[in-house]
Amino acid sequence: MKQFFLKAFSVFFAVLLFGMQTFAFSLKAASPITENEIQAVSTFNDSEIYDAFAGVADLDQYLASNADKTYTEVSKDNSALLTGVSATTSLPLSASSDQEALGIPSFLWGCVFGIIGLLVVYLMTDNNKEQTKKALYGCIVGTVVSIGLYVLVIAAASTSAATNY
Amino acid sequence: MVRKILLLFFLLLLFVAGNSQRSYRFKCEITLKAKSKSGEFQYTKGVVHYDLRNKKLLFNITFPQKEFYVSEDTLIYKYQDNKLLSVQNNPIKPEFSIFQFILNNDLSDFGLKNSSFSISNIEKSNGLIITKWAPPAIANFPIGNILISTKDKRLQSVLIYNKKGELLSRQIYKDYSMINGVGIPSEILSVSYFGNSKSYQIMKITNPLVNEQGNDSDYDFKIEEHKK
Repeated sequence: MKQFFLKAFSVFFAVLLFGMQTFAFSLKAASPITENEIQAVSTFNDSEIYDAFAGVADLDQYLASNADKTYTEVSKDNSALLTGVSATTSLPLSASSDQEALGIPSFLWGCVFGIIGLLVVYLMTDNNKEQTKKALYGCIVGTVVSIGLYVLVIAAASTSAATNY
Repeated sequence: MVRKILLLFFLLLLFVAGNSQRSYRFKCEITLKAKSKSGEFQYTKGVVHYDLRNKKLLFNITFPQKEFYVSEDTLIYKYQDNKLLSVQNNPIKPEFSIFQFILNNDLSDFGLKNSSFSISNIEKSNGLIITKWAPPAIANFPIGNILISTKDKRLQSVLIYNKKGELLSRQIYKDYSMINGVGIPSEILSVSYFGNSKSYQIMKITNPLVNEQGNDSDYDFKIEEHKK
């Protein structure tokens, strides 16, 4: 039992040490967060975004009390509510929106995907596919390599613990 | 020997207990509003079901049309009146969606923890933890630094820059609720920048439900049975 706990402790501390070193290494190459960046990330007047949707405020209200109405039905009831509103569905997964920055549709820049998802979109939409593929694969390989390193450290620690006791 | 078996049994019990607490199902009503840089609005309302064991994201859309979408792997199936209308390629799998992040409690780092972006700095300011993530040192890598702010381990905002340091996208996560240990934002605001023009989005999440029991078919639509 004692041997088991000692082994477990050795593995735990080996992983901890490795993690701390990795963390220290990544912070060593730190680039400072500037005052402008702090301002940009911590203060933003979101009324700009709400104001952008003032044109559909009435539609918002209407649909809140008429949840089952479709576009066609609303257009019969009160077509003014649909001024400037597209009749097509916009899914958060859809890549059919306007393609702009980095070839990633603006909708996908939005709220629904994390960074890996965005990189995948970039890979799928970029014209210079070979270069991008290399970049993306490099990114994925980096992740796999770090996981592999952890596994190696754990394995090494287990072996050394087993030899010592 | 008996002690070891008891210890193993105890560990197994802990594992099972831990797993039973795990969040695996998510249901909510969503309203997606988008304003393109040309000024056109897109307005979509519906209900989302996601079960991370099935890896199928289901959208029951009520506005603008009554439609049903299933996103599985890299395909999106579109149904209307129970008829399959189209199958589209979709570059993003449901596993990269916000719904997966919410269930895994991974939202706080925007998925960066599992990428090869690395933390280049952390600062505390005005009660926020601000983390700067640097892209991997790979030639032609498309994205530059990413800044993230969190409060009480909840994602507040994300700024994505390009290589030149120009802002590409800003996202704001608001008004969290806590269900089954899972933090769920009720509103996500976003602006995308394209030079001098911008596009805006608001996604509202209402009536969220985690680990709903029963209604299994709502979470696992059998595509093979509906391929007509």
